[in-house]
Amino acid sequence: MRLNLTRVQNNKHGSIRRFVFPRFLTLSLAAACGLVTLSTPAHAYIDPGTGGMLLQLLLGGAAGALVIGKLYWLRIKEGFQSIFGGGSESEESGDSDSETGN
Amino acid sequence: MNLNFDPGSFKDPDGRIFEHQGSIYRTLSPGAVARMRACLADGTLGALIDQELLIESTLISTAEIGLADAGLGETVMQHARIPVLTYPSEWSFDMLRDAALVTLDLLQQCLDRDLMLKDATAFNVAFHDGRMQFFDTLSIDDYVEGAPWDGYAQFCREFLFPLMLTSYRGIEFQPWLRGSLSGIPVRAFARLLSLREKFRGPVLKHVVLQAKLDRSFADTDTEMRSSFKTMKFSKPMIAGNVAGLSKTLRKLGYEAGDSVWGDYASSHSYSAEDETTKRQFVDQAVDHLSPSTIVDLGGNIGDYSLLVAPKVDRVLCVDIDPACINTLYRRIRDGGPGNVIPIVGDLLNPTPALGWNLTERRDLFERIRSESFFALALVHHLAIGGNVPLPRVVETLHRIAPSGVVEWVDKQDAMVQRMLRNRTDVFEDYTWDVFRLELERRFNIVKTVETHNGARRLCLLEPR
Repeated sequence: MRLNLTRVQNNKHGSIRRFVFPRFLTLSLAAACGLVTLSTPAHAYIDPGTGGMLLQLLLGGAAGALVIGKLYWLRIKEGFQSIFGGGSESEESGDSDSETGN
Repeated sequence: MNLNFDPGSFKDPDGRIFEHQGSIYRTLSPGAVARMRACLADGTLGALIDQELLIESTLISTAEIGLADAGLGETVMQHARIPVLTYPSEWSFDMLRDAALVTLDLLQQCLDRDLMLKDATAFNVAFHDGRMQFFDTLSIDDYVEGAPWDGYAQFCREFLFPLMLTSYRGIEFQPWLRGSLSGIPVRAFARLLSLREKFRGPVLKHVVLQAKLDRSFADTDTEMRSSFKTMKFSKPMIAGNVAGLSKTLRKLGYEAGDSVWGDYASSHSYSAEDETTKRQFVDQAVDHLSPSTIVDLGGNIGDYSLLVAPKVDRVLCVDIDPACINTLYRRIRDGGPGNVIPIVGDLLNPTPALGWNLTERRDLFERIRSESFFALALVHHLAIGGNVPLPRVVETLHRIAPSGVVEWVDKQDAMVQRMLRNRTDVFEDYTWDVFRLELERRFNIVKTVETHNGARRLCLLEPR
């Protein structure tokens, strides 16, 4: 998980973007995308675009914010686990693999 | 049987456009037949057509049109013919905005009927009968519970960002849409905006945040779509986004700041008498030539296009200035004749063939060829402004139409003098005699009339 977070951070360029979009939100979404994965195939006729799909979730108002809040909480949990090295073969580490499988 | 398929219609496996005996049809996959039958039966298509959001479309049996054995199945869709298709890079600000609003309106109505638009490209919309209309019926798909709007990012790239670019930054979008058929990518657009603009609510949402999320996750292998399903993405969420986008678009202002010609009508050098002479000449020329189609080259805000529109099947008004074409579009939309087609186009650099195999989108000249042309107060811009020798100017006019009206503007004319004021006059061959000889090589000059005390000449040209 730590490796992956470093990679995400390396993707950031410039202070302006960091200013308008708090890092914790980005990271929580990163964690969320890793945590919530299913085997359902995609059926979109066109590529919906990653940013476009995630943004729609954010624009979803209360429901979206709730999801984001939940993801943020998961992110904090993960952070603790990585700091205290407790994430040996837990559920989170498996999800983390799917997240880092780039 | 060899069917005449549209080379630009190949992306959707559900159906392709083809022409048969002068009519326009669309093939339908078995799934598409079922979907379109349902849309027709429950009144969806009829309602969208009645509201002028969708061009006339209906189902027809292949047996009825003599194509029962063509391997197209039992049913195809028939569409109203769009005589001249123009592309988003040839539209003005209000044309692109209206196309965007049509798309959103259609999507909203689809959602109300448990349907969805499976994409949101500006190429689904055409200027037809005086307004922007959706024509890609197969974009209408079934709504899948929990799925996001797949076309959102595409809508941003092809509609929202180009319009924001023009509205916020004062940069006309046309060259950008010509340069990229898929619009302006979100990350690139985010870099174009100033810090101040990034604070605007819609920019923050649709540009800054989307770019940020895209930058962070686009290169990961995570399959987002399935994630959304577990997140219960809902129809009201999509509808809310659609309503928000529509509101944002309606608020975008258009000021033609750098327009050269937007104010031409009030600032040009015509006296009232010269203008009357010119209008009469053009009017009589159309009576004499009686063409069914006219292309008005450098047509400005369309004064002459509108003048002759009642006498012909259609007039294409091409002008380099998006502000002029926008004015013309508003005149047409707000009650003007539906047979005038406004086109943003630069004759010195016309839209080339674009896209897959260079056949997906056709070049401008192929589409605007007409029976007659107007080239009023144009030749000096090509010959002196663009350094195109007169023989080539005449050759190109002839290529576009075999007859027409051309206005010769002499070097002593105030406008030409203004064009030459900061440059060396290298145009020794720019004389009426040279021009007349070139015209006579390709046309019959039926009549000439002098205006501006002899500094300008109107010429009526017949096919030779």
